[in-house]
Amino acid sequence: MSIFSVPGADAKATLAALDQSQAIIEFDLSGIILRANENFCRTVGYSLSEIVGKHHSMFCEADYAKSQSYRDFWTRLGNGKFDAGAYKRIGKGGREVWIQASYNPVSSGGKPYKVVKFATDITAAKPKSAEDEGKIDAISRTQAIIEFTPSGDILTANENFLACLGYQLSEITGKHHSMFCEASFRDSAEYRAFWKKLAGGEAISAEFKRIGKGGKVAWIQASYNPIFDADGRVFKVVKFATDITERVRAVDDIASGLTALSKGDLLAHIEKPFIPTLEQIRTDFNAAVSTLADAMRTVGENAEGIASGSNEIHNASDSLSTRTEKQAAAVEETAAALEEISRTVADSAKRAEEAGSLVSRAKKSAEHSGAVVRNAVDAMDQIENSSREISTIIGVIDDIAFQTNLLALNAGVEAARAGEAGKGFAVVAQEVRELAQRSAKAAKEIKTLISTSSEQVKRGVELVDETGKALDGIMSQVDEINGNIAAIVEASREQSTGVREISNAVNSMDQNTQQNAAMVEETTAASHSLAKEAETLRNLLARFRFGQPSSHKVTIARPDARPVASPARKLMATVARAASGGAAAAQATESWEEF
Amino acid sequence: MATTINSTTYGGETLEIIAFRLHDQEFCVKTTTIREIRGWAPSTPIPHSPADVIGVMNLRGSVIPIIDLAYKLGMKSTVANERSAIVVAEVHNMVIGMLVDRVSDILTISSSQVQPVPEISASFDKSFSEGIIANENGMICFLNLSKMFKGNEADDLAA
Repeated sequence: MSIFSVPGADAKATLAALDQSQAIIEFDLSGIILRANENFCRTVGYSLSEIVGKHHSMFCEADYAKSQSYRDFWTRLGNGKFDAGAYKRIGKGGREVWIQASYNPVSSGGKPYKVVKFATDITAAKPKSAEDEGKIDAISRTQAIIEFTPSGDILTANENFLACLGYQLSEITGKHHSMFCEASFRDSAEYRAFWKKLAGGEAISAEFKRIGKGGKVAWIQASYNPIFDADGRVFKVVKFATDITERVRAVDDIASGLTALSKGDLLAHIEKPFIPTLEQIRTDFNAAVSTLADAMRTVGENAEGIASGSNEIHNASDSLSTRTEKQAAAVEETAAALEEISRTVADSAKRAEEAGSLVSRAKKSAEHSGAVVRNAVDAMDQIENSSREISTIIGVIDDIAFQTNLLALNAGVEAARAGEAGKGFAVVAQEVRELAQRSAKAAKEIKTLISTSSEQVKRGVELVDETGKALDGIMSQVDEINGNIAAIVEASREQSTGVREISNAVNSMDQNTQQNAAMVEETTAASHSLAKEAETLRNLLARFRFGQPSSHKVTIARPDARPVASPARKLMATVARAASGGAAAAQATESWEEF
Repeated sequence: MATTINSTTYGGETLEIIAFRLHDQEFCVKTTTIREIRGWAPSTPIPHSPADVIGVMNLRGSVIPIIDLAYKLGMKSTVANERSAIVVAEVHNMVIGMLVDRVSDILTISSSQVQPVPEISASFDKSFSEGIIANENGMICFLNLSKMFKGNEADDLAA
């Protein structure tokens, strides 16, 4: 300031020099532009004529130009106080211009009358420095930063670092870095080499275990960055560190959790929360373990279910086996009964056949008898005819005897009427009359005999007729018997067919029984294997700890479980034998073989 | 039939009789009154004839009446059959035929064998019967034809 106030050649020269390098603009106290040099005009992009007489606010953002702070700014300048700093100004066409400037009130006689502003265009440098600054700030906010001399003595440290290790800045400033290291590492050649490397300008980045205040272990992700001076010499080492203690703990917890998990402990939850970035892993781990435990529990329950189910299946197959045996026994009994029936049917068929032949013989005899009876009837008829003829003849004889008697009587009458002369004649007539009477008597006797004979012949004819009728009855009855016998034979045949069908049914039953038996075998084997597998599963599950001990006893399938021998098989022969008793024999045997 | 032929060796008068049967009873008449004996032949009934006249028949050209003798004698009528006989007699110069069941015999008896019909009551007309002949086979009623058939009656019949 003073240099401007001293008039003289030197001052003028100085101003001229400044005028060449600096952008200079002059305002009145209200901010009206009085004058600007070339540099300024170039900086803001206006020509001089465009700005002279205008207010300084033309270079400011509208909001700022209207603000109280802007008015204060000019008030301060008006009071003679300078203002310097980096300012954001608006050039021609709205272009942003950053300037490093100083606003200098120029006083005359202790009273300011104008303001001279010297400005350097820092538009290019300003954002970068702001960025760098921001970055440093950001790093400082988030990271622990400590600076060392190249030998390792602590220069400074930020809050993050101090918080990480639990120290106050005063406690560590001037101390050596080794205070953060474990004793064993501190004395090692490695440690010395570490610092040597850093001093040599080599950056080192790694995770480190550090000891905090009171022996507190802290893990840090750190980079040791040597800082070079203008000559390329390391003049200090800056360490950027991130506290990864929680991360490491989280990793340790995850590791121990996984170890427990590998040992089958499905209750190994991680209770302590992790840092937010890793919390998801913890919750996921816990969820995974819970899910796994649930799954295992479910598996365990299912294993129990399978075990009890296989037990039930086993019982059921036992029961089925028993029933199959019973069924087989029933089939056997049926076969025996069938045999009996077959025999009976065969017997009755034979008897029916014999009866049939007997009946046909009886029929022949009856037919013969019929013929004989017919002959007898004919003979009787002839006898009757003869008797009738004899009777007629006898009648004639009787008639003749009667007439003779009448004649003799008349002769006697004549002789009597003749008196003595007719006496001899009367005797003759008397004798003739006696002869006639004897002849009539004989005829009468013969007639009686003949009529008796006729009577008897008549009875004989009746009897023979009855015999004929009886024979006819016998014939028709024999016919009926013959029909019945034929029906019996037919019935026997049907019975045979029935027996064959029953035999087939028994065959089918036997097949079913055998299939059942086979299925019982399979079921038993399957249930056995199932129980074994359930046991294996249970053993497997016993290695896990998931809150519910799988201590239920799994029923192991009967070790002697084996296929039930089908009693039906031996029935084949029996049934076949039974069937051979009847007509069903051949076919049935074939089908049994087939089976 | 035991025929008793009494020959003339027996003392007294002999009678030639002819015996016949009406139902179960034997009757007889004198043989000399008999013209002939015929077998039964259907007779032709005569309207309004007496009850004892069965009818008339043709005897070799002449028509003679046939008498139901049983009815005439107060017995049940004779039902004629082919073994019945008609005794043709000549009474009061008239020929009549009498229906009998059968002719039994021609006998010769002594008149002493004829016993009189016993007196039964005053009203009893015993003129039909000359007597009763008793022999070992029963009794024969000896009929008196000329009294049985009175002259006018015979005329009536002839007329």
